Amino acid sequence: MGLTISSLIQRLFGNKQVRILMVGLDAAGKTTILYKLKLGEIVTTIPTIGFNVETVEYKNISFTVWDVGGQDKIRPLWRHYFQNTQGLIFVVDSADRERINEAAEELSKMLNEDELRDAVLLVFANKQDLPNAMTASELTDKLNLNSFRGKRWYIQSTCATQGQGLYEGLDWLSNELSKRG
Amino acid sequence: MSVDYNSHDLMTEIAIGDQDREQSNALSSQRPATLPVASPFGPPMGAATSSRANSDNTVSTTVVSALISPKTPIDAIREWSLTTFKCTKQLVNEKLGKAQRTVDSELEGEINALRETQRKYSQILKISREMMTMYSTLVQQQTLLYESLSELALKETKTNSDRGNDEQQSSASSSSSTFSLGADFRQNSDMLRQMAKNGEKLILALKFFCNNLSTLVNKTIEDTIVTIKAYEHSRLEYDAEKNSVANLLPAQAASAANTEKLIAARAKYDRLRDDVAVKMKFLDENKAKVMHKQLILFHNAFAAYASGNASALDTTLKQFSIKPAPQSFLEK
Repeated sequence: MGLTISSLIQRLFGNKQVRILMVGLDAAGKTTILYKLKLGEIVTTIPTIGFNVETVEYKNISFTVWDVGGQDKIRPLWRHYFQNTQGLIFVVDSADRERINEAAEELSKMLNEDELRDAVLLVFANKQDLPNAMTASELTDKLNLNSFRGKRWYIQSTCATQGQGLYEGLDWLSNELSKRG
Repeated sequence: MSVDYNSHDLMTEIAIGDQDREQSNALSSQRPATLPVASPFGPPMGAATSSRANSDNTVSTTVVSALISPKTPIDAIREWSLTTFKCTKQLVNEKLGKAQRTVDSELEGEINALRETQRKYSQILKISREMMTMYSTLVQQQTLLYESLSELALKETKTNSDRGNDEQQSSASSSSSTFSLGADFRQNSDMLRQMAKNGEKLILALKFFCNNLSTLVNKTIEDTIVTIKAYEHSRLEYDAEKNSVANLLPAQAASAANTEKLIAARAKYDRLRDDVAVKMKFLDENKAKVMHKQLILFHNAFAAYASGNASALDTTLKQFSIKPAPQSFLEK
């Protein structure tokens, strides 16, 4: 009884809890994005071996963001963090034209996973400040985003070091996830 | 009776081990014969990928599962209730000490240690939160006191200066003693104001510490605990299947349906055991990283506060990029 009431209060007034998994190839800028969101600052990062978890409060939603390292050796470990994920953030280095196919491959592999079928997909086209960076529409094409039928996705061009586009992405996520209730 | 049972059990286990090796490849492309109800974390990864890789992305899972196992809902329910019954029986028998269970003592020791750690950490979190509340009460009192003191200081100076003008000629010595009261009040109020200011900074640091510790205890460690629970359930399922096959006659036990189920349960158990082992290792690294940082913050902030070193406190806050929360529009 008490549990019911407290969960009701939590539902009405408390923060909504959302679990986000942030993945992408190495050096795409995942950790930088994570700490830009958390601290509002650019911290110097080293390649992530393992993972980082931070809780980011935004618009009365408490996002638990899991940032898992993207080096090819530890990519198979991503799947360990799929459980209960509501939102998937895929970070792409827009200037890295050579490895864009690799990124597309990883993305489609992941979206075939059963545990992620209910998760919404947000793609961060990061490093837009670099010259020769691909635009969001170019990346949509390269990542075959239009082929993911029945999946709710959104691509947002960002520049983590200047903080551009990050909160727009979170806005989309919070809208999508609150639609679901 | 029990000796008989044990030896029988052992024999089947060896037999299963052999079959397992032979059939593991063939089976990895099949879905385990349990409903998602019995396994809250979905079908195994390997099975899911291979079965879904060829199928269209938009095909819903119910269709996929219907394609793989041509069953009516009634069959599914029967299947599920059978599995649940077996698991419950196994659980009761284990509690009564009647049934054997698979034990991975090393992993279980680590799991217990992790649960203990979670308990201890949440205790630290609770105490730190209580301490934060106490410090904020303290700061509130200090603020109230310095406001009253500065008010009094103002009043004293004012009345004294009024009186001082009147009585300037009458008595110089008495007026000088009352004059100093205003200065005393001011001195104390300034000191308290400084203390309250430092206290607020300490509270900021404590809040940061508590938030990060809460993320570690309630999210990071909890995530692994969820996997551990799935692992423990798969262990129960596997043992239930194993013991039910062991209790059958050898002829029945060899039937394809039973061994298939058993191997599926075994595969799931093995997979989840590996998952748990990997996640615990990752978690350990993350825990060490996070706690190291947080403990440095805790130490630096407290040391600076206790020694009254305001600039060191500022440096610590800056080092960890802790900023006061944005004020509400009312306060601006």
